[in-house]
Amino acid sequence: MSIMEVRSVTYSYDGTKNVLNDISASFEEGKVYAILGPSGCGKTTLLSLIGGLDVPTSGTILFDGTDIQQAGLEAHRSKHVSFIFQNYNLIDYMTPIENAALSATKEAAGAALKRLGLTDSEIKRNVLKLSGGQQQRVAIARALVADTRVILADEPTGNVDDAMSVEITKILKESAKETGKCVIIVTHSIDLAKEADTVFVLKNGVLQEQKPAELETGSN
Amino acid sequence: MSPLHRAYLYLTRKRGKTILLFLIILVIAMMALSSFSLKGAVQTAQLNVRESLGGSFFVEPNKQNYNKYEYDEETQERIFIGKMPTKELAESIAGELDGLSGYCLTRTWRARMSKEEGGQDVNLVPGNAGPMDLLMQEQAKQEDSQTDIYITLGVDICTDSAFHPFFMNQSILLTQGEHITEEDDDSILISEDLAEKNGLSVGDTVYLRDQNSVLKKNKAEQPIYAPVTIAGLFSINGTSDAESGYTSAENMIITTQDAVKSFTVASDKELEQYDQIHFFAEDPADIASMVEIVERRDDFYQTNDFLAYANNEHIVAVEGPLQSINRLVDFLILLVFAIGVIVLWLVLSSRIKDRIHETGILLSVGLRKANILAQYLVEITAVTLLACTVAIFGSVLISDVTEEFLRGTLTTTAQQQQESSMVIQPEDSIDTPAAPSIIGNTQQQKALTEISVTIEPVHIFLLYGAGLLLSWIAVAAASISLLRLKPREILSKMS
Repeated sequence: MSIMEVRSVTYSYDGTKNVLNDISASFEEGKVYAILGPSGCGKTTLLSLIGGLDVPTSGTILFDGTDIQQAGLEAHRSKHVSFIFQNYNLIDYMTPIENAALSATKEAAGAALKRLGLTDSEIKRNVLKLSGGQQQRVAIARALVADTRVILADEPTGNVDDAMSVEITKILKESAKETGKCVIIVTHSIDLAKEADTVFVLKNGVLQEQKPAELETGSN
Repeated sequence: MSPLHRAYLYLTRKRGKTILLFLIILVIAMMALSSFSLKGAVQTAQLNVRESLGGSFFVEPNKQNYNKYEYDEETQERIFIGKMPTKELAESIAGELDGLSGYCLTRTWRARMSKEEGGQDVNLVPGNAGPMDLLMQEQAKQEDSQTDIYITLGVDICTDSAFHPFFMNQSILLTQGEHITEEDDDSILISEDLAEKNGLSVGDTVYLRDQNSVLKKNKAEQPIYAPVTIAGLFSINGTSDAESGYTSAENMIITTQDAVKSFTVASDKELEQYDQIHFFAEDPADIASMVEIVERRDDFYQTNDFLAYANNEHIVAVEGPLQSINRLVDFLILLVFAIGVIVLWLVLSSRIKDRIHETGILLSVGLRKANILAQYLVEITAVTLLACTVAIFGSVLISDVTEEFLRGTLTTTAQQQQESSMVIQPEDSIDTPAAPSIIGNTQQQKALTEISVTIEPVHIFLLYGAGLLLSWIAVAAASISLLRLKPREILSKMS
């Protein structure tokens, strides 16, 4: 059963040219989805609409069958979804454990960080003193420990090397399976998209579902 | 994570920004606290001036109007036939005015005083004329002297000695005994100097007799020796400017109308009339408006029977510098407030807007806007409270410096005031003896220079209140403008 649904959504920045044009999609719990597309095609915009950071020009976004705008975007962001950003978006005066504990207990945050490979000393260090990969793991830990059913990841491997990219993808897949969360990843990496259960390709404002196996190898 | 915890983390981890904000608020708080304490000190100084100089006005008969005189063929003198102030007039005026602390009707009389009935006159305190004055006294003691030269004591009849003008402006101070009122029909107050010179003390009985009893032309009647009790002694704060003991304050007797009635040869009708009525205001600042009200009365405006004089020139003169300082302090407070508001606004707005990224993150992790705002308010509250507390200690130093400066300014003013100081007297009446006057009221000068720039609890309360309020408004306004951004705008600003 779908937890999130995008229904006939159109979005335009200036009211003339549609970035998203009457698109629809549904997302289920326990699965990983990849939204693939070239830069500037509207992937992040779609993710922000699903996450309640923006509102569509027309159409509706549903969470568990309820319009998130009617339920309240703030409540949607705090209760239903958690984000992983390309640029990590960590609070710079906090340690990894404090960042991860923003929306959970310190114990859960610590356990998540350790599961993602950070040592005791690393989780108490200032986040700016960590490598890019470690910072991204902190961001992932923060999303994982949050008591939400949907994780929205915007280019989660965009700033890390290939090895880390594979590892992050693996973590997200495992999380989806173990916790039953719905993971929606926006990426332009075909390799990452191939790891998803379902792939949506966004091109010219239109969203098309595609099987991961049918994707061409290599980065887009 | 609670807003309190996040605020603690921000303040302790972003030390540079926290210290900078702390220093800015500290400077503003110190300036504000110093201004508050300075304002309080100036207000206290103004109150001291008013209390020491007193605020009064007096009413006296209008002797400037030539229609109020008649020519006496027999004596070939012009005699004043106008109305004189009475108790009824005093009560009528007092009934029209709000804010009066009291009033006193006075009349200056002359009398002689002896320690025994029929005995010799007491020794008077000599005036500034020296040997000549003493010679006059000796001559006056000779009842059968063939000269008209005589020496008497000045007698101030007063309905309530506590409201005698000299007591009110602290030119004289009651040092022993009690004040007298019109109910006391046989009591007097004399100076310590006169008492000491004649071995008198409170409770002693002395005898008063009319001055005219020594004049040759009135010697047909035997003088009446009226026994009176010394109810109190007063000290003179300053020096009498009288050249002769005849008019010196040291030889002044303050008593009641009934006491004078017991020895004088004057008629009852004459005794019902007073020279002046002195009215005293609770707040000397009201004197001018009170005089205006009195001057609108029919017996002042229509029939021109009486004149009213404000006795607040000294207050106006001495308060001038204080009012200038007060205006300067008001301007300073306004300036500090304006600078404080602008600087705090700019600093806090910039600080909050710099944190748009953090705000976006917190929003994206699901924190409510109120929760985020609470963090920023907790931060500014902590810094403001700390800065205000430190400012209290810093301001003590500033207050000391300011106090020295103010005291120097006021001492100069007081000295100038002392040089030109004279108790204001009405224009000398034609048929009443001149009243004594006192210059160099040291009590007044002391009061003028008694200034203390101290930080009162109310200033501290005001500082914390205003500081927190300003900080909260600045943070809330800056935060609200940020938090009112649409999520899309936050997202775009974040990226």
